[in-house]
Amino acid sequence: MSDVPLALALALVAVAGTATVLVRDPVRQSFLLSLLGLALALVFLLFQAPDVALSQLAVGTALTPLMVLLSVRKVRRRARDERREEHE
Amino acid sequence: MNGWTAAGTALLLFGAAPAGWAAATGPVRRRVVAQNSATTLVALAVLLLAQGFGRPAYQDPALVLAVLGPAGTLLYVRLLADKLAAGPALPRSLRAATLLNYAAVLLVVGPLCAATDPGRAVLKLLVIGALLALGSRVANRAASAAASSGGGPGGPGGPFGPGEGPGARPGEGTSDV
Amino acid sequence: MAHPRAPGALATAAELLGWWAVLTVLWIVLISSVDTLEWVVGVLAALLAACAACGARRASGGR
Repeated sequence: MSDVPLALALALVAVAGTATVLVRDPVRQSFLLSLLGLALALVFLLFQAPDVALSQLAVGTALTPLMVLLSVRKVRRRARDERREEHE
Repeated sequence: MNGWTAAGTALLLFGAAPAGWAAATGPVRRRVVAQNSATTLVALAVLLLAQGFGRPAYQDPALVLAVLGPAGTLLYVRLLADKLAAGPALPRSLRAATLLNYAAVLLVVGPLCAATDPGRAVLKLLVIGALLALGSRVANRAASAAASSGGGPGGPGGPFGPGEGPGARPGEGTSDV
Repeated sequence: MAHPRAPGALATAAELLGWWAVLTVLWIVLISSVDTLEWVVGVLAALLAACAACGARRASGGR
């Protein structure tokens, strides 16, 4: 009877994944990506794979948002510098 | 489906899912705090499910999440510092989220400790609970410090957007790591 | 010549020893079954992590 938490976790993955695709702002997407990582880790745990859940947690909660936010920061800074050069 | 599994499912449905919704919508300040709450509540749900399935090995993801969840929140606070500083200070309701996290940790870890045989297993549960409470405290203190650092003249109705103008300067100036 | 450095070195050694003891206890608490091999691995890993913790604290300026 572990079907109920499993169904709930699968529903969370479906909602978080769909929302991640539909949202267009990268910063908002990074929040949704970390939530998707949490839900996926829960699904892996309920499918009796705690080792996969561990690595999914490490990647999903810390590394993916870090890479997305760092890229956003770099792109925005470069865009601002180019705009400033155009003004001068 | 025993009581522990039911409690874990209920915590997911009525605790983690609303926290996730709060982290997915709304202003950045609320998102950061809600993301921290979501990781804390998911870790507690994992603890409850591990007890419900009778598998102590399932506690390890909760331990990892207790360490990595606050790290992720600190990451958001650090990299979104200009957006946090551009808005007003954290309202009282967001600071109360820390107390809610403490209450959830106590309500889950207490019964789990009572149900476990005394020994190293109880100590492990206590370590996980302490890490969760400590991480919640650290993350929310960092979020409120970042939000109150720039809540001065360039408040919410300032002439500049969140990504440009003087509001972005304090966050940029400290980005030396 | 060693006199001015002595208190600092002593404090570092005490800090390292403290980290090492805490991390060894943490390892022993978190593993599932305790035997000799686990003690050896735990003591060595805790020593490594204690060095890293001391370095990290020094790098952050003792905050």
